Amino acid sequence: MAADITLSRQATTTEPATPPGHGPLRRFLGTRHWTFAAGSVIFGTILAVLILGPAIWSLDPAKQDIIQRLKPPSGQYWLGTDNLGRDVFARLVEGGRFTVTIAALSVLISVVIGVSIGILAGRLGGWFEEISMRIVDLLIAIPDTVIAIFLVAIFGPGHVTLIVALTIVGWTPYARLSRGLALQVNAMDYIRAAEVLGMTRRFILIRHFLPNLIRPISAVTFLRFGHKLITVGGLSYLGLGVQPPAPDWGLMLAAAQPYLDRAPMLMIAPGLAIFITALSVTWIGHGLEIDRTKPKD
Amino acid sequence: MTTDHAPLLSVQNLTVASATGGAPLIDGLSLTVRRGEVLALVGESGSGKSLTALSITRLLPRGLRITGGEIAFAGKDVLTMSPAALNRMRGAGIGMLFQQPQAMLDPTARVRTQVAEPLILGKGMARRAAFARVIDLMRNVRIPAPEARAKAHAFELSGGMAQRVMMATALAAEPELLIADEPTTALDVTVQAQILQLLKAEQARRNFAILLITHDLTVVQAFADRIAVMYAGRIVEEGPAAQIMADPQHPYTRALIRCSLLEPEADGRLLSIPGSGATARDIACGCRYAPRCHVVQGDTHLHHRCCGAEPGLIGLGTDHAVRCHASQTQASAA
Repeated sequence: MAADITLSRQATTTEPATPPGHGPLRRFLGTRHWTFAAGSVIFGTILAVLILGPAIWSLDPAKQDIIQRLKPPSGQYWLGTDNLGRDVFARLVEGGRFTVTIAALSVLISVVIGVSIGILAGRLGGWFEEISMRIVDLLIAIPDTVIAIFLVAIFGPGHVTLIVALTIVGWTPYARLSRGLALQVNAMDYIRAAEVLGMTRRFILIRHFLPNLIRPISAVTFLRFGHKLITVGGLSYLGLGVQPPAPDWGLMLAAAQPYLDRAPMLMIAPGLAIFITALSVTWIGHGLEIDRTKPKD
Repeated sequence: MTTDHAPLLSVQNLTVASATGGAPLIDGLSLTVRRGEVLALVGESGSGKSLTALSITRLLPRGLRITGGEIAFAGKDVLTMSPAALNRMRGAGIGMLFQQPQAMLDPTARVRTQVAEPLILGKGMARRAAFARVIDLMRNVRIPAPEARAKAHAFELSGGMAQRVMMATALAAEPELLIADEPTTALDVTVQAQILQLLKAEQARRNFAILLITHDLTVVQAFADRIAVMYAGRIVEEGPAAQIMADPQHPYTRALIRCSLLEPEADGRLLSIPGSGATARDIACGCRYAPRCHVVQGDTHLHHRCCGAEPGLIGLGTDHAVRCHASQTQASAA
């Protein structure tokens, strides 16, 4: 009797938890930090300009107009011209396609290699874990600039060398992170609960293990992506990456240096481009990292 | 093959030890659960209750091994089962409830996905049909507004709600045995009562057996048909719940009952058992409870005997057995 009373009272006082917002997108954004939305909008705009820009404005990054050299921004040349009278905006878009692609490719390859090795290390343990983690310790101590100089000395500068140089060290943080996550998630009670219900190891791996790794790994991926953009710019600036006349943000910075006093926009434009792009992806990563759905302990 | 009289679960001389050696953590434990009955396994932290439950489902953590004994579920030998047969037994034969219900739910999945998993995987139901069944299951465990909650995530549920969801999940595949490992320990007292009432009601309706693991004898009193009291990896007393609660034979059982019923002593203070709960690792000699036993203290003759040799589990009439020199002496003298 008494139990029935308490049960029915409970039923009336407890309202079902209604999630913020209505649609799945609103719900998704509603549980995110504002930096996620802001970063997504900025980075999305940059990507749209880089992808669609040349088609919309018929830009020619190689066309020289020597009479119009080192001009400030104008209606014809939105960001002015460089020392050979080339359109800075056109070169910025063209260069961005290189820089962002190289950074994205090296991050993508790093994630695939690093996460695979990390999960294997966490789940297999034993000698595989020991050897792979010691390799991580070794590589993580070497700056990628040093590796890039080394590789350029052997194979000569270029896209492939740049991507390889960034990947050799780039996979290590993901390996270390996903090994830790694998150990952590594997020890979670909900993995036990799934085992208790008689689910196969494979099912548990796909349905309960991997989904719980995706968010922290994607957060770090975006954070590292911002970092990689700056490294690509830096390496090209040093002449270790993309070679002229192909434009690249780092290369444009280097080329602008002698004309700093006459045409400051020449340097400000690629510098700002690197800064804003790196900031926006870092914001996305930050927004993913902050998990507002997690109960605070 | 199996008759109604054969036990549903039979554990004989189970021994569990660390893979690195050392004293066994569970030492020669035997228990049986009959179809449709509630057996309460009672003991302090570290006595080996949860390890017993994990041994039955063959889910001991890495580093622990079953080194001896036999476990049979519904007439089948659990220790020699193939992984596929084990998975079938876990889903359809044995369900489990745990202490931390919220941690048992995957934070990335919706409630209905998790409750539906045993239906889709174990029973081969279609996704849509399984989701519809989930609503029924959730209504059965009296979750208000089940349609809305089915789409919720684990973090949107309270502890009591999460335990109801776990109950719906565990009962989805209609197991013959439900192992409930301290299912109410992490919950509010009011919610505890609701969960236990619900468990009892579901058990009466579907007639599955329950192995209830707890340290709380007040829970046991209203709930269990039989009680097995565990101390430091061994069963020290076993018998019908009413008989044990009314007339406990082992000094440890007596002390536990008085502790959990909160009956004050003659001096007005609450009873506490001196010392701390021993695990099977730190046994000196003789009876495992002797160092903390109030009967032994002050009786030099008994002291010599209890610290000299460990008593065997001796039957005291039908279905009641105790592992204690003192009460066995009394019984034979009477």
